[in-house]
Amino acid sequence: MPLAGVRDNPTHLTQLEEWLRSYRPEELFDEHGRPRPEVLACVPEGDRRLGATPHANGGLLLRELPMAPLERFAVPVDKPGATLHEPTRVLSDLLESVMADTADRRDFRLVGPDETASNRLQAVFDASGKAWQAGTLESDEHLDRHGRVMEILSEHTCQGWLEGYLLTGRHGLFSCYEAFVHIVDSMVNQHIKWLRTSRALPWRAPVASLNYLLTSHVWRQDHNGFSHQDPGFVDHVLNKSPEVVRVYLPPDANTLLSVADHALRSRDHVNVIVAGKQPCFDWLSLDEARLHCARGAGAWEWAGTETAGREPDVVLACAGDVPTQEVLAAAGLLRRHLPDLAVRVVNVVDLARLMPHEEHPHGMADPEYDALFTTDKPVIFAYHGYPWLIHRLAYRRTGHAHLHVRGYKEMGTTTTPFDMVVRNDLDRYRLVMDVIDRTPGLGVRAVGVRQAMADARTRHHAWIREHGTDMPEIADWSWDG
Amino acid sequence: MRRAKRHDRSTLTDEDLSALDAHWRAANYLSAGQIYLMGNPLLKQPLEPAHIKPRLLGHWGTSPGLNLVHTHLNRIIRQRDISALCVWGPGHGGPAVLANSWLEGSYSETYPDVSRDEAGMERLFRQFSFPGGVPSHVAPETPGSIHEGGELGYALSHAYGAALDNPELLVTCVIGDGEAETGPLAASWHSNKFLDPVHDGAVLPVLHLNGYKIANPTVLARLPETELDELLRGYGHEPLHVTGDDPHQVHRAMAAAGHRTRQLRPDPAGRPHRRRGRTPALARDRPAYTQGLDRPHRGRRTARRRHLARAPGAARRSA
Repeated sequence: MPLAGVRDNPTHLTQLEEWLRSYRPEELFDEHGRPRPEVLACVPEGDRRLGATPHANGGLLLRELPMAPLERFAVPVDKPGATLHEPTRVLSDLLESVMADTADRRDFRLVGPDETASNRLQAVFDASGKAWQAGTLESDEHLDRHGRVMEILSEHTCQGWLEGYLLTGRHGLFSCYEAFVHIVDSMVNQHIKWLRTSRALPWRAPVASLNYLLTSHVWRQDHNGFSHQDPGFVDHVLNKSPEVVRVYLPPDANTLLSVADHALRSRDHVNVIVAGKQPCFDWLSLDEARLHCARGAGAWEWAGTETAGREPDVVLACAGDVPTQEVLAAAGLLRRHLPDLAVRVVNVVDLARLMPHEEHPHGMADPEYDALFTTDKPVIFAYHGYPWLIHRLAYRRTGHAHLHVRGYKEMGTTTTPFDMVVRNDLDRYRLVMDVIDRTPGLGVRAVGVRQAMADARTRHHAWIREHGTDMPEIADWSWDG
Repeated sequence: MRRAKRHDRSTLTDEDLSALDAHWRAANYLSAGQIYLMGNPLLKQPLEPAHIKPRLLGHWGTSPGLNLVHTHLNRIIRQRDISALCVWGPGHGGPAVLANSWLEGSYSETYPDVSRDEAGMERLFRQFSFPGGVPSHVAPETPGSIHEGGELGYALSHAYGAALDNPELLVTCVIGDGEAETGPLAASWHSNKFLDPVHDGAVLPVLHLNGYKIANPTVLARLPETELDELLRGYGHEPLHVTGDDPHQVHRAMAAAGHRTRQLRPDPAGRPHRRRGRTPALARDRPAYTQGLDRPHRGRRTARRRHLARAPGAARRSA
C-alpha cells in the first residue's frame, strides 16, 4: 500500500492528490461524475459485459436435473436384513441414468481423484467415459475425449473444477475416499462462505449444491490401514454455516438412493454423504427409506424390544452403516440374553437433526428429541466418526448426561473389518457391555452376560491372529429379528 | 519467449489507443479512490484529511494490472463478439474489478444505490473495505465473479470448471504470482489435458507477475525468463510476455498479445479435428510498466520499497 500515512502526513496527502490528479479525472468523468463516451468506447454491451455475464450468476442458467424414479434402482426389501448390497454400486445405477439423461445437455459431471471404479461407481461408464486429451495406450479403459467423468489425482483440482462448474450453473458430484477429502478442507470452507454470502444477495440465483460422496470409509479401510482411516471431514464441515451444510449417513442402499436424490435436487448446499461400498445389509424398503430420510432420525421399532405405552430402559442409537450393523447385532444379543430389557433402537441419517433447532434448520425441537432419546435413560450411541462430535451436537439436550458415544478414536491399523470396531470399542459385544454398565440395576443381574461379551472379544483377538479373518459368528452374522 | 512484434502494433489505431488508455486510467483512478477516499470523489475541491478513509485497506499493487487486463478483455470481447468470463485470482483485487463493473454499468444495475454518477462514485469509494460495505477481495457481492480472491490457489481450476461444457465461452484467468506458488494452483495447470476442444470453452491464463507477496519476492517473478518460459511450455502453453514502462507501448503490446490469443476463440461449431496443442498464456511483468506510472516517485526503487510497506490489517499473503 503506497502512502500509508496519508491522513496524518501532509506530504503523503499532497503526493496522493498529485497521483490521483495525474489520471486527469476531469477528462474521464463529466461534471456529474459520469464516465465520458471515450472511456466507455471499449466496453461491450449487455450480457457481454464481464460484470453482467449470466455465466457468473450460474443459477440463472441452471436447469432441473432429469431424475428418474428411484423405483428403477431400489433394491427389494421384504424384511430387514435378509439381503446384502453394495450401496455405492446401487447408487451408480442412478448416477448412470443421470449421466445418460444429460448426454445432450451436458450439465452434469462426476469428479474424483482416481476412484470412480474403486468406489463401485463404474456403471456410470456405460453413459460416459473419463475426460482425457493426453496420450492413450490400448490398455486404457474408459478414457474418452468427450467424457464427463473427470479423474485427476489432485483433490484440489477436482474440487476447483466442480466449484467452477456449479457456480456457472451446472450440476455435479465429487466422489472421494473419506480420509483424503480432508485435502480440500480449506477449499470447502471458502465455497461454503461463498454460498452463505450469495444466499443473502437477492440478485444471485441459487446454484446446484456441491455434493460429496465419501466412501471407502474408515471402517472398511481395514486392508489399507491407518493412513486411510479418518472420518473427520464431517466434524470440519459441521463447524460451518448451518444454512449451507448438510451431513447424511445413510445406513443401507435404499437410504443412500433417497439421500442422493435429495442432494442432487437441492440448491446452495454442501451435502456430505458418507456411505460404504462393501456389501451391507438392506434394512429398509424404498418407501421406508424415503420416510426415514424425511424424518432424518427415527426409532426402528422392528429392531427394538420396547412394548407400546412403556418407556424403554435403554436407547441404542446409531449413525452410519457399520455402526448400524453393530447396534443391530447388539440389539439381537440383548434380545437373546436379556429378553426383559426394553431396548429402543434409533437410527440417525441426517446428523444435524441432533443439533438444537435454533442452531441448524434441520435441528430437532427439544420435545421431539426428548421423546426419541428420552431425558433420563442411558443412550448408547454408536457413531461412524469421532465420538466427541455427537456430544458437541447434543450437549444442550436434557438427557446429555446420559449420552454415551462410541466411535472412531484413532485406534486404526491394518487388520480385519471386525477388529476395526473392536479396537475402537464400537463392536456389538462392547455395546452390550455398555448397556449393562449404564442401565441402572442391570450390572449385578447381568454379570454373566457381561462376562460372555468380554470373553467373545478375547476369543476374537486370538482368532484373527491365528486365522487372519474374522470369526465365523461375525463373518456369517445376519439379523434374525 | 516471443515478445509482441512491432508489426502487430498496427492493430491499434490512435483512436483505439486513446480510448483504451482512457478506460485504463479511469479504472485506475476509481481503484485508488476506493482505497483512499471517502469524500470529494471527483477532486472538485483540494484534497483534505477529512476526505481520506481512517483505515486504508486493500491492495493497490495488483490493481493497475487487473485494470489493464479488464480494459483489453473488453476490447477483445467487442471485437470478436464473444461471450467471456474472467476469474480474478490475485488477493485484494477487489478495487479493480469493482471499478470496471461500475464503469461498464453492471454495478449500478446490480446495486442501484451505487449509481453511475458523482453520488454513486462517492458511495463506491466509501463502501470499499468499510463497515457495512464490501470486501477487498473479489467476492460473491462482486458482479461477474465466481471466485473469491481470498485464500489463493484455486483461480485456474475454477476457470477450467467454468469452461467445461461451455463451448462458446472464453474464460480468462488472472493468476497472481503469489497464488502461483500454491500446490492447488500448480496442479491445476494440468487441467488443459482434460479440456475437450469440441464441448468445452477456451481458457486463457494470465500470469500476473506483480513481483511481491507481503514480505517476499515471488518465485516466478525471479526466474530467468527462459526458465519461466520452459515451465509454461512444459504445461502446454505458449508464453506471450507483455512488459514495458510506457502506457501506450504497453497497450500496444497487450493488444498484440491479445491478437495472438485469437486461436482461443471459442468454437461453437465444435470442430471435431481440434486436438490438444500449445495454447497461449500471457505473462505480465508488472514492475516494467507500473513503476512510476501508477504511484508517486516514478522509477525510484527505494521509494517504491518504502511504499510497499505492509498495509495495516493486511490479510495472509496480501499487503
